Amino acid sequence: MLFNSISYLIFLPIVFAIYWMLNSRNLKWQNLFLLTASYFFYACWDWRFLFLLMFSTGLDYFTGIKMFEAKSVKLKKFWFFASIFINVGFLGVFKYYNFFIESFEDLLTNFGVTSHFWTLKIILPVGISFYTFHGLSYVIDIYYNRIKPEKNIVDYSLFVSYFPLLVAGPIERATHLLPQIKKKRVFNYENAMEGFYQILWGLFKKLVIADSCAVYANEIFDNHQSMNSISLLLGAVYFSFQIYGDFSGYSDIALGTSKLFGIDLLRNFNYPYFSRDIAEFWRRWHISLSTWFRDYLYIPLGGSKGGMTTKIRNTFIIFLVSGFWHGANWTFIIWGLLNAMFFLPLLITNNNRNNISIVAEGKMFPTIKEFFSILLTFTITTFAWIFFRSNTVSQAIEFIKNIFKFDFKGGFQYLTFDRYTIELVFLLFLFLFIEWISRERVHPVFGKFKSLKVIAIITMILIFGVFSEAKEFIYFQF
Amino acid sequence: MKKFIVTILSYLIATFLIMFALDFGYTKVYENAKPRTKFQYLRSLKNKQFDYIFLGSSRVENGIIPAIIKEKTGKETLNLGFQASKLNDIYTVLQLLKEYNIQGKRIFIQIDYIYNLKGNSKILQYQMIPFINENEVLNKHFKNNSKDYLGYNYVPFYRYSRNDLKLNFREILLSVAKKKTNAMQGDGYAPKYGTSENHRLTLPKELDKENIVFDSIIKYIEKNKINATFYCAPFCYHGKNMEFTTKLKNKVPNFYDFSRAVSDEKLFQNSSHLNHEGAIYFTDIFINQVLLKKKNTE
Repeated sequence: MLFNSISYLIFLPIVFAIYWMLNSRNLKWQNLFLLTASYFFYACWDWRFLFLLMFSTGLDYFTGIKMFEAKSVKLKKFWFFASIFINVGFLGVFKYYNFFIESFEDLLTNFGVTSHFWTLKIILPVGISFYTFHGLSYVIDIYYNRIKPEKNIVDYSLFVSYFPLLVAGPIERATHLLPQIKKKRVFNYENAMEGFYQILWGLFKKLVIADSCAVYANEIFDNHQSMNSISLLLGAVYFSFQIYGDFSGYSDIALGTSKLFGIDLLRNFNYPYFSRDIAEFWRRWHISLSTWFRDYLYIPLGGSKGGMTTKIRNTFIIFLVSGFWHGANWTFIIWGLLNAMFFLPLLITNNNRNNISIVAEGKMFPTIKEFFSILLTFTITTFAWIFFRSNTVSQAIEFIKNIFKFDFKGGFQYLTFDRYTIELVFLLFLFLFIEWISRERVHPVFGKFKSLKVIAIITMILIFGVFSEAKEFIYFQF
Repeated sequence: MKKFIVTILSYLIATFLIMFALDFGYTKVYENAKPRTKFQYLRSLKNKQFDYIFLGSSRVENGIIPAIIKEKTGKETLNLGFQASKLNDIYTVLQLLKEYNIQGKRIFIQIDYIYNLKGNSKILQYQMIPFINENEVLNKHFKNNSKDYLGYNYVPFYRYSRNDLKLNFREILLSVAKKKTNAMQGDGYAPKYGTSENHRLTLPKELDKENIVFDSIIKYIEKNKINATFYCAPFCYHGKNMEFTTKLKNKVPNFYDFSRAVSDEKLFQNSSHLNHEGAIYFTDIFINQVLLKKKNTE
């Protein structure tokens, strides 16, 4: 069930209505209902993988309690590593097995050995990377005595499977979400309206920005051999906006939906394309994953403590793992490495925490320096996205090579498509302008004339949205 | 909660009103715009008279040149071939001629492997969507051929949203700005240029035993006393199962088989579509073997 589908439009109001009707009874029923709705939501993709989700949930619930009750450190360690091993094992089998086998086959072929190993012919269970990370953070937090295990199986299962975040995050922490699940929720008009506004803005980002850009980005990437430099450049820019609109749009809908149920989720995006350097970009892009890696990988590895070599090593590990988390393909690994390399100068010169505040806070325009810093950050980010979007590394290299041929013959080739031509660029500038003036808020529906703003967004979605084919969110594949 | 429900309901009503207004506005623009699609061109010919009207798929659109027919016979000719048309589409266009009072003294219908094809042309469907409620013929066409019929017919703006790749805001702006397309040049004829290397073609082995749409076309022709002639346009010689057209000849009344009338590969853009030179050549053959022959015997 996609957030941008008719079925979700029917599902959400029904769940919302029953959920708040149950409020007068007790919290247990409310949570049980929310869990049932979440399992139904997940089963709409493939009911068979529901058992995998339930098993993963049960495993972490059980090992969490066992770790807490363990009488010896050895036993505690046993349950901890059992949970980590099984969790990562599942992820490894479903997501990375074929990649390792195929890479190994390629390696053998290079040495003149022909081989054919058995590969899995199954689809990747939706959201496996996300719910596995939920479970891992829970188990790690118990192991390090940061939290106590949750005894109520329904509440714990809801923490893992809560439908707004189940398939593509944000990756929640037990310390943040579980207390909200255990607390009685009271309907709050202002909060619910905030949720509605955020859902609406998320839909705008997905249907208008991401899906419009996707039409062109897909065409340009799929036919990159016959495209001239200007078209390829635009293809890369369109993909930058596609992935931003797609994933931040999804996150906005998830956060907004959750607000309707009185539960706040972690913010996942904070206007990343207005970042003044790559370090700031990573503090604003997919925040829940970045902070997960920071807390559960970077800091345990030593973090910023120790010498410069340790810092550099840890940074590279984080970005490499982050790339690999996105998918079993060398393109994602190189994307991660590129970001690490962009990060490196800031780390070495100790400038990685220079830009913490909101850019041009309280001002209408940025300074010239800020403007060019934003432009530079966007350019290098877009450069890295080329690897992220390409099917193979050689495709990405060919794409970049062709950009630098500076072949402008034929002008804007993408103009031949039916849908939009240069209008899309204007639409992106309008989008950037709205985001710029809203950068100190969560979404643009604030201040005076909220109703008019809502009407304007609805009208723009209707006029410029892509409805001809419901496109899946990119991050569902991760 | 009550306040929230009231607010959301008012936004829902506002959304519905916006959809209604947009639907009304888009439809008005399409209705009053200068033709930018071939279907709009067809609508613009209301109450006109022609001597010859050609119906069919792109094999008509790319293969019959009305200007040459007029030059050689003095007859007003209209090419109403629509890309990817099937029998369903031809039947609809045939009925629309009556609906729009477009008179043709003689109607030529191109028929070939489409005899065996079900469904309808998506390209023509795009062009017809703004006018779905204009008359019973169009409404029935969507009712019979589109799974989105209920949405198209009863939900305002749904038809434009579902077809946003073609019927979008840009198209509205271009219509308002009266930007021309080359769709209507040459009385419906649209030339193809060049020649591709692949001239392979496989026709069906057998003719479908039953074809309800074809039977309806025949009944409609008889009922309305339409002077109709069927023909099959040329195929490239490399085709497999070329005897299919012979079987067609036994089934279709008043049928001219031109499937092997053009032997030079250079006159084809691909296996089933003539290029511009091919269209000139074939139109000439058609004039001599059908139009002038008939004229001489009249």
